[in-house]
Amino acid sequence: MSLLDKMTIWKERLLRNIPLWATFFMISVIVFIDVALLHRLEFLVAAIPILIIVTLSVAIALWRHYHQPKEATS
Amino acid sequence: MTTGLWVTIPTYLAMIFLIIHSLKYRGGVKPTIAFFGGAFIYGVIRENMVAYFNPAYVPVGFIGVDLWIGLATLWIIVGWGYAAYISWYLASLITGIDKPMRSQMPVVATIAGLIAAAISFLIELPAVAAGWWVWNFNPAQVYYFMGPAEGMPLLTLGGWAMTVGILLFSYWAIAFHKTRWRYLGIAAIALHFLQLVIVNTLLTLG
Repeated sequence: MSLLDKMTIWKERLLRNIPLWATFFMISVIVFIDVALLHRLEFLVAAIPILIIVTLSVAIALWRHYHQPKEATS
Repeated sequence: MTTGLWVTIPTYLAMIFLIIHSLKYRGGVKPTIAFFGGAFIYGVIRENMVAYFNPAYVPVGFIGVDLWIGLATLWIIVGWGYAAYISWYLASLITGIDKPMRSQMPVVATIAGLIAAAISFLIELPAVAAGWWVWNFNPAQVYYFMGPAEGMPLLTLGGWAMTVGILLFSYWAIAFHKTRWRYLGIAAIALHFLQLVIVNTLLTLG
């Protein structure tokens, strides 16, 4: 696989997962506001539920991707 | 003011990328306009209704950096489309269903709603602390979180979940399905608005 092919695949992955990056971006912005602007370290607790959900959803999606059932051939 | 700038500009920037994603992967121009346009109209109506019927909720906005549409700020209105879109995406990762069939819609919408509740936890705390909006419910009537999440009413978790769940359910029903389901989608939104009026009026009266 050439470098160009690899770059095309990564560009496709990057674009396909924009909402995932948007989620991380949102979490980063809010964490920055909590810590740097509001100086409320305790608010970091609030990021835990969405971080658990994101981790879980990515893990499930990856599991599904690598364990796709073989289509029945008859 | 400062916190307002830090949250509005990234939100609008990220929205542009979400729109690009929708154009490329969720069926092109028409569904994208339908989703983000629909979410925008929904946001305008919802936020104005809540601000009008519930004096305990005060949208402060970011002076100088935010636009107002009636009683609601543009950032909050746009935020519903943002929250609904990423909740839909994460729900589709969990379930493996991108465009739900009729029987799948309630389950996927519920999962997306729960994801939105998790997002609400993240947003509501700095919002209350920085004064982006204010909750003035009577603490004897509405349960407020204690400890690190102090100042955030428990009610908001359900509000976010219900809003995103119903918004997505109605969008799927209207955009992807035929006649009867379209009516069901419209009815769900109409009932949701009625429920908002009743709940907010009751909270005010109580």
